[in-house]
Amino acid sequence: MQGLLKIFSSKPVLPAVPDYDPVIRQLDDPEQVTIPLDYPGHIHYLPTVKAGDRVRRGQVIGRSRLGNCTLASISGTVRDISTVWTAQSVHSPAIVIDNDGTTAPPPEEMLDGPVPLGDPFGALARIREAGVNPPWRLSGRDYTDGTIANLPRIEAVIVTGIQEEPTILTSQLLLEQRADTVAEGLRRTRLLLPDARLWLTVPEQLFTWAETRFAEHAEIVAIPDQYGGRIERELVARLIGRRIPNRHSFISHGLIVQDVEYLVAMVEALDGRSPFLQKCLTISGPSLDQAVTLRFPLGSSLRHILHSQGLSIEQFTRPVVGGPMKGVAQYSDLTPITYNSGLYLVAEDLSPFDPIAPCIFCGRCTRVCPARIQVHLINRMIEFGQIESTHHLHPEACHECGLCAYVCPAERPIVQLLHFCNHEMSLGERHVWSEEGQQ
Amino acid sequence: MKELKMYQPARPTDAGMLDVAVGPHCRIGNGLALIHQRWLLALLPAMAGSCYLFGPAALRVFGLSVCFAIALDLLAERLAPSRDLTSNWSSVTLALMLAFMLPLNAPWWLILTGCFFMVVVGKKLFGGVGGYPAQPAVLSIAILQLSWPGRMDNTGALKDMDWQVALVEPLRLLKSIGASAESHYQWTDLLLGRQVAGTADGMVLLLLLGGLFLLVLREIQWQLPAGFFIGLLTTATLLHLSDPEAFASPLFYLLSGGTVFMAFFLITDHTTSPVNRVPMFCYGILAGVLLMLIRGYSQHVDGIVYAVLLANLCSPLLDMIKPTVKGAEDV
Repeated sequence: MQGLLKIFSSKPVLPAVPDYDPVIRQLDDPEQVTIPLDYPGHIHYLPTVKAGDRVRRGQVIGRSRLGNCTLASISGTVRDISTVWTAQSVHSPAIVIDNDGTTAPPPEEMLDGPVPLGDPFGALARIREAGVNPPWRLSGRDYTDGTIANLPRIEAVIVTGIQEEPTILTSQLLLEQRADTVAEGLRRTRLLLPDARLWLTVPEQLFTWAETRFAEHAEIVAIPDQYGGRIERELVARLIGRRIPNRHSFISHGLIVQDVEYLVAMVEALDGRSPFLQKCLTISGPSLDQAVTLRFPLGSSLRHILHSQGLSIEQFTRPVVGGPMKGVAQYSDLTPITYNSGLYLVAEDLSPFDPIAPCIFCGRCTRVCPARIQVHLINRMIEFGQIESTHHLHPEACHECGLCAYVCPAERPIVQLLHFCNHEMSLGERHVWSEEGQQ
Repeated sequence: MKELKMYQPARPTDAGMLDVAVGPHCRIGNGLALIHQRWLLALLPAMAGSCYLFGPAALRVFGLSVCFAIALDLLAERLAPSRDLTSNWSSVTLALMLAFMLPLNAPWWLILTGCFFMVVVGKKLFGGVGGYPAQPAVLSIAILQLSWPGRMDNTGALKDMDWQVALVEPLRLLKSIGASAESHYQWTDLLLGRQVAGTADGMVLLLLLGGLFLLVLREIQWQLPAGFFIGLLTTATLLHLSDPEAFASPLFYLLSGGTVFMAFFLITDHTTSPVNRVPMFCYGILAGVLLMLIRGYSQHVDGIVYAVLLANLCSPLLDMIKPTVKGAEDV
C-alpha cells in the first residue's frame, strides 16, 4: 500500500520550514565542555591555560595570532588539553573543562564597560576579547600578515536574518525576539562602515514587519521558505551582482556575510553586557513533532543537548549537525557543538536501495542545479574515471548545495562524486587548477 | 552525567548503529523501480482498452512479451552481471512498449526475437538501463520490421474485426488513395482506438491519459511532447496546404497510427532524450518534423520507428546546446 502511494506521490518539492516552537529554551550548564581550537578556514587558537588550571566563565583560554580569543563557557578546572573530532570532521586540539559547580561572576563584570561609539579600534579589540566572531564569516582567519594588509575595503555587508537550511530557525527567532538589538547592531555597523552597502535578509512572511523596523538601517531582502531560494552563494551573487569564486572567502572580496546571532553578540560585547559564551541551535527532524531551539554553553556535547530534550542518540540513525542539505552526520554523541546552529535528527534508514545505482540520464540534477553545471555528464565521467574529460564542463563551479543528490531518483552519491572530482583537480595529481586559470 | 569523557574516542559500539554520511540527508529519490512502475501505470489504461477491444489476444501479446523480457533480462544478468538489475522493472516497461507496437497476431517466436533484440542487444549490450543510445523497444521493432515485413502486418492482424470503419491502417489508405481517405474514418473511432494499428499504440485517448499522468508527476518534461506536437502540426499544415490532394489534415496525422504513443512514451524516454530544456524542445520539434517527412515522402506507412531512432541519434548533439555554467571562470 505504501509503495502504491509512493507511485502516486506528487512532484518533487524542495525542503521547507517545519513546524516550530518559537521559544528559545535555555539549557543548564553541562558537566563538561570541550572547546576545540582549530576551525575550518585556517583558524587556530593557542591555549593560554594548562591542564589543572582553574578557569572561570568568560576567561580567555585560547588566543589566535591576530588576537582573537576563545573563552571558557563554564567555570571549572581544565581537565586536559587533548584532541577531538569536531562536528565538521576536523581533528582539532581542544581544551576540556570540568564543571566544578562554582558560580560564575555575572556577565557584566567579565568585560570592562561599554566601548565608546566612535572608536573603531577599541570596538575591534573588544570584539576579539569577547570571543565574538569579528564581523565576517569565520573568526580569526589566520592570514599571513601580507594577506591581512592586502584585504580589500569592505564594500558590502549582508546580515542574514535567515539561515540557509530551512530547518535551522535560530536567526529568524533572534531577529524577531531581539529586534531592538538587531536594529542597534545594524546602526553600529553603518557607523563603523559608512560607505558599505548593508543588507538584511528576512523570511518572506516577516518582510513588512522588517521594513518598518529596519528599513532605515539596511536594505531588506525577503527570502523564500524553500531551500532553493536560500542557497548562500547564489543569494550573495544575486545581491552584489557578481559571483565570488567558490574557493575564496567572502572577506577577500570586500564582503561580509554575518549571522544575526553574531550581530546580537557583537552589540552585547560592545555594550559591555556579556561576552559570547552561549550558542543557539535548532533541533528538528522528521521524527520530531516540532523544531525546538535551544541555547547552551559553547562546547557542550551533542549528548548533553539530546539528553536535555529527553532524547538519546540510540533512537536515531543519523544525528546530523547542520541542516538536512549540507549537514554532516556524526558518528558519536560526544562531539562538541560550537558554531553550528542546527541539529537534524533522522530515525529511519536512509541508505539508498543500491549504493551506486546506474544513472538513467533523466537529467533532473542538471535542471535543478543553481550553477547550471551539466551534472549528469560530469557524474558519469567521474564514475568511469575520466576526470580529465570533465574540464570543459567546469565542475569547479559546484558549491555543493546538494540539490542534485536531493532530486536524484536513483539516489546516487552525486555531491560526493563532484567533490571527489574537484578535490582530485585541486590536488593536482591528475590535473592542475591554479589561481591564474587552467593549466 | 559524570561518566562523560568526550575527549576520548567513541567506542566501537557508538559507531555501530550510526550511518556515516554527508548530505543531503533527505532525498526524494525512491529508486529506479519506482520510475518504471510509474511508466507501467501510465501504460495501463491503454492496455486495458486494448484488452477490452481485442480480448485475450491482446493479453497474450502483453503477457508473452513481459515474460520473455524478464526471462532474458535475468539470463543476461546471470551471464554478464551489471548494475542494471532485473529488479528495477525496466524490462517490464520496455516489454510493454514493445508489445504495444507489435501486431495482434504476432507469433510467439516473433515476440521472443523482439524481446531478445530489445533486452540483450538494445539494452544490455550498451550497458543496461541508462546506457543505450536508442530506445530498445523501437530498435527491436525496426529490426523485426526489416526482417519479417510480412509478419509485422497490422492490417492482416485485424482483418476479422467487426468494426464499421475501413479495416486498413489509416495512413496506408491515405498513401494509396490520397486525402479522400479521411472520409472513411470517424474522429471518435480514431480517438477511442478503433483503428487498425499495433496491439495498443492506437489507443489515442487512453495513451493521452497515461501521458498526462506522467506529466503531472513530472516523470517526463512538457517540452518534449509540446515540441513534438508543434513540429508535427506545423509540418503537417504546410504539407496539407501545399498539396491538399495528397496530404490529409494535420489532425488526421495526429490521431492515426502511433503518434500520441510516440509523443508521450517513445521520445520521452529518459535515457535517449536530451537533458537540458532548450534541447528537449528542439528534440521534440525534430522528432515531429522527421515523423511527418517519413510519413509523407517514404515507403513506410507509420514512420514512428524511424523517426524515433533518427531523433535518438541527434540527442547527444542537441544536448551540446547547454546553458553557461555560472561561476565557470572561478578557478
